[in-house]
Amino acid sequence: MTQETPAALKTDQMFINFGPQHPSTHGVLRIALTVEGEVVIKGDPDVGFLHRGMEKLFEARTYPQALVLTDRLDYTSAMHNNLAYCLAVERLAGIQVPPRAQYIRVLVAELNRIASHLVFFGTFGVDMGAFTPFLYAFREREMILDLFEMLCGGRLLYSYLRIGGVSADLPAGWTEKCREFVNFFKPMLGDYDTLLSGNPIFQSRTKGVGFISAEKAVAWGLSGPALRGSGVNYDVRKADPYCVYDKLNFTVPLGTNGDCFDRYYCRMREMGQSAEIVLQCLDALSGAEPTPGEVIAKGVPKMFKPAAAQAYSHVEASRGDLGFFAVSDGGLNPYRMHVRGPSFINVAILQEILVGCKIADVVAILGSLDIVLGEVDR
Amino acid sequence: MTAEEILTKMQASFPGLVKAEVPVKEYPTWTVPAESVHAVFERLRSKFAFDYLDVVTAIDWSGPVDPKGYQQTPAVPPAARPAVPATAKDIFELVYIVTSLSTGLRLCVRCELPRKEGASIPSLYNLYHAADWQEREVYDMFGIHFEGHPNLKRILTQEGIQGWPLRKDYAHVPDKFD
Amino acid sequence: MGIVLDNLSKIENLPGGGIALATSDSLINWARTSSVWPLTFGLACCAIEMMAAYASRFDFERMGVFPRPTPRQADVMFVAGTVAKKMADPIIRIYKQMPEPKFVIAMGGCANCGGPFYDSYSVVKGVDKIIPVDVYLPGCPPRPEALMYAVIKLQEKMKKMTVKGGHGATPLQAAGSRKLV
Repeated sequence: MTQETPAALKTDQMFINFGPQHPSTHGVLRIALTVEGEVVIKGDPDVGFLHRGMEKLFEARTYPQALVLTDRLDYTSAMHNNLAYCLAVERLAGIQVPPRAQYIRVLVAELNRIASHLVFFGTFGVDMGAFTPFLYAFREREMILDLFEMLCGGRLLYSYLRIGGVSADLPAGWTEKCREFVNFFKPMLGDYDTLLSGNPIFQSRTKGVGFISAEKAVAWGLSGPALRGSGVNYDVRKADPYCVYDKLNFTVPLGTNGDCFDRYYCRMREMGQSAEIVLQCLDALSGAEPTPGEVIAKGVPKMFKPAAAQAYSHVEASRGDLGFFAVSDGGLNPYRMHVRGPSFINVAILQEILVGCKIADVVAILGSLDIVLGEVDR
Repeated sequence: MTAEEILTKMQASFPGLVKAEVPVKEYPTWTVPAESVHAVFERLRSKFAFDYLDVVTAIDWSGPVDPKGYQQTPAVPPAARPAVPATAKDIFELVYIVTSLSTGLRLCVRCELPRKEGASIPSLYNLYHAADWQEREVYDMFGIHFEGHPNLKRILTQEGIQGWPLRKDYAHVPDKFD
Repeated sequence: MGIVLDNLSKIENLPGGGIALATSDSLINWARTSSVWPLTFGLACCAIEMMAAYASRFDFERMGVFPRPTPRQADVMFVAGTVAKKMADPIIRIYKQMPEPKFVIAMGGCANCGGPFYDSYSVVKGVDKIIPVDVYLPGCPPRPEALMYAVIKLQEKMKKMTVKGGHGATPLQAAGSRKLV
């Protein structure tokens, strides 16, 4: 009988294709994992499985037509995409948006942030083996979608924001329904904590997993809750205020450890802040000022040609710093439109933080970054 | 310190660094020669705390776009394509937007490259890891090479694609999926 | 029992029990139509609406539609979203892994014909270019109710299937038209 050497016990490396069809990749991301036993020694994200050539298509559409494409970038928070695009084009053409439209924009953007974070909450729970939160999250989400349906008829992709304002004023009875929803929703955050955040199994799967230091987060250009979970206080709404965010009162939740749980919990607390912003906007919209009905800038023609210029504008979308870089050559179509998708930049850090983690934690880390493949691949 | 003051200080060591003629609206915009891009960003990062790279992208200035969109078939002869306007230049322009998280300053830095196959520019990967995938995307879309990038491969487009999609002269060859 | 009785050709009442008679076709089709298991497979925007259909308000499971994460246990594939050219090969491979009989619902404009990306250089102009499709569902994105309607239409199709030849192939397969590219 031969003596067993440690070398003989060594496990071989194994190559695993994680995705593109996998229920936990939230779309069609592929990660090429090299594992040794349970430990990942190399993780190489491969994207492009949803590449739709969006930036080329912008060049083939007129400015109002291109708005429809922006919905389909980050499809769980379409309002933010509309908003970032409209802000960029308005800056390009020097259009002033009426104050009422600005409040409505902030209102719908924050409602959409809640809806988007609810999708994250539900799917992250499913990733971690808890199915019930999914049903609760989607119950509340459907209420927000009902509100959006009253506004513009769309459930998921809205194109409600237009260049120069919004497509229509709030319909009769909408503010009451919205207030009713927010009052119903705020206590629900406590329920979510009981359901998932406080669950010991969930905590042991997310705390201390997928650690990202503040320096690393900044170097990799993370944004949104993925950055703030590491304790970096950077929120476009505060750092570079747009619309009426400088008139509103809210705080930016920060994490301390930079692990999966902190990123998750940042989003949960952000929902509470968004609900507060929604209430403030509803209060501001209920009076005679800003004038009801004035929701779109006058004199924006349907076929409009901004003078040759360049503009960059960014917003704090649900997943982070979403920017549009617009170049006009004086023609009907944008000469060049670049989208800075926060998910695209957030997902790049996977190649560094996956190394050394257990294979079961890959799902937790990926889920906590909360990427949307429509925005990664564009 | 304002962006103007930073520019004055930087110009002492980088004479090629000037204010751009056409700025990005509401952003201090500078242009810089391609060979000093890396050194400029190294200085910005170490001396002026520009630690957050927002955007890396490029523009192909060889225009124009066909008003109906880009050419669908390669069969269109060059003579039938729309005339090149006077504004068209035979250059690529790289656009970088950086932010300083501590001072809140934002900057746009632009850099012109001659428009030819194998155009290249130094990579910023060792300064900002955020440049990793954004530079790969620019390479994928424009075919601009980044010297010193650790993993410069095509990132988004499908295997076997010919050409660089965001170049203005890209002609899509219909395949079995069209 | 209502569904079962619809599928029975005869019930014989005998002392101490009874015998229910049905053709094997109607019995098998009854079983198939009431457990349409789709693949958990989302591509783009439509996948969010598909998730909403599985969730609390719409509760797809009451129709026997219960998502399976592996293609080997799935009966139907909802192609929910834009099919990029890079994704075409994985989709064909997933489709080949599904056991017969298998069905495809092309959900949304992109899966039908390319949708808003009809002129893109990197989008497959309709998933029927790569795999056969049973039900086309328009919309951008279709509502969850529309997805349910598509499943009902698929069930109607399933009810017309025969097991003649012992392989349960759909008429199209029997005719040899389900060749993959």
